[in-house]
Amino acid sequence: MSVALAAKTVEVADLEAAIEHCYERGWTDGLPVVPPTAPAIERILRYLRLDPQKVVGSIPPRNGIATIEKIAINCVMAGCKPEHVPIVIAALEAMLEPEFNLVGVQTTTNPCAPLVMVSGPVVRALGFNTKDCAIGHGSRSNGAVGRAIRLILWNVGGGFPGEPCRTTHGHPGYWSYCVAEDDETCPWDSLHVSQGFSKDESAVTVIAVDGPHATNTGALLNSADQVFNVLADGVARLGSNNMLGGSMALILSPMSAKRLAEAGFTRRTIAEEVAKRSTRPAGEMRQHRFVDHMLPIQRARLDALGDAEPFAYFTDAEGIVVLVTGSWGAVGGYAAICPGWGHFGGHPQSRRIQFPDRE
Amino acid sequence: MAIKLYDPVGEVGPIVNVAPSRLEAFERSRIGYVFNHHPAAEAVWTSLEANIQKILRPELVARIDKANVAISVPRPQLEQLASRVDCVLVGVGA
Repeated sequence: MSVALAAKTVEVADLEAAIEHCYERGWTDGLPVVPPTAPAIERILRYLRLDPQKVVGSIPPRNGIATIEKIAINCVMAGCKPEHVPIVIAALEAMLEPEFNLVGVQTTTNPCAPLVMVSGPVVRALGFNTKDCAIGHGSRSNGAVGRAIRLILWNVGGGFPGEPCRTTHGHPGYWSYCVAEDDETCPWDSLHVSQGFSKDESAVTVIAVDGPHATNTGALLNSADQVFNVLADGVARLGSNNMLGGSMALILSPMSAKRLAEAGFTRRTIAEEVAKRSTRPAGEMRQHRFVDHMLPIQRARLDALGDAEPFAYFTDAEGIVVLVTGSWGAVGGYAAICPGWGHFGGHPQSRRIQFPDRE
Repeated sequence: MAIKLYDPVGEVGPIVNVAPSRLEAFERSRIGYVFNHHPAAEAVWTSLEANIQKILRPELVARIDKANVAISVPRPQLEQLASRVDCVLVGVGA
């Protein structure tokens, strides 16, 4: 049974011509895409059981309208299976929350890209990679979901480099940026459970962040105290936008998470400890004119301190998302610190993934 | 065999065009300012406001001073400003 599609169409001679046509029309961000054909689009729409013309939202800065049909087309191009698409829709809904400030994320000079964090039973069900190279290459689910988000931001939102998107350097996560939590090695309740969702549900959390900064926590041999010192040193870089506060993602390897859990820390208290310890001397901060971008309340807090006194990058742990994924590692017990955009936006937003009712 | 491709580009809603007005048309009118206080634009904005004050001699000035350069002003706040003035000048430093 076919589904009525409203999108404009164009006919090309063959597969090679189809791939080239996508380049010529500017439908891709530089990597080749799967040609969006009716059977593949219809397969997604039949799975979703949603009105193809239902509007999920308008995507800035171009304010293109993201209908279910347009989302499905871009998901085909990204290599998604139908089962991936509800995750993409949930992530888009989360990114459209005002606190995420998607127009700012799409256009800022800062290299922040939406990172999609998946948590819950869907991680295993769809084979997201949560072991070696969990933030990198090697998995269709991670790759396709992240790429679908980028293609929607590109084709519907018009997020093209140069004009209007002024990110100075960007980073490789702009192609695709999706990770999933490893419930097998996570010593605490899953991320989505910590956010109030039930164990049986799956959810996404989106946050706009810089590329992952690999941080060797030495967790096999280091004490929890020393692991925190290492993490705080990585967070409180003088050139990080987190000197303005805001949000960040802290992706712990299982070994790093285990070391901290054994010392009695939880996901919440880890974020609090990182917030407390991520400091630099106030005098050093004041010499960096980027402090002119601080919110007045932050600037007053800085100016009240003596030169040698520590200035904390975060006043609370609200914006620090802690996720456990990746492989065990060796002595390193790595973590990935993903700095955010500061107080400007990209703050974490979560959504339950609504899979179609199969009954 | 020919392949039919479907356009992935999102449609954009209708854009309402308003006829442009000359600056002189706002002489002795009520003027609103929305400025994001980006450090790179503070000097030019101060000069702009001073010149508008001198040239247009507005009857009333109302402001929204953004504390956060990047976050949009909430719609109700903008609507309240719009209800009080004849025109709004928006300054976005980046």
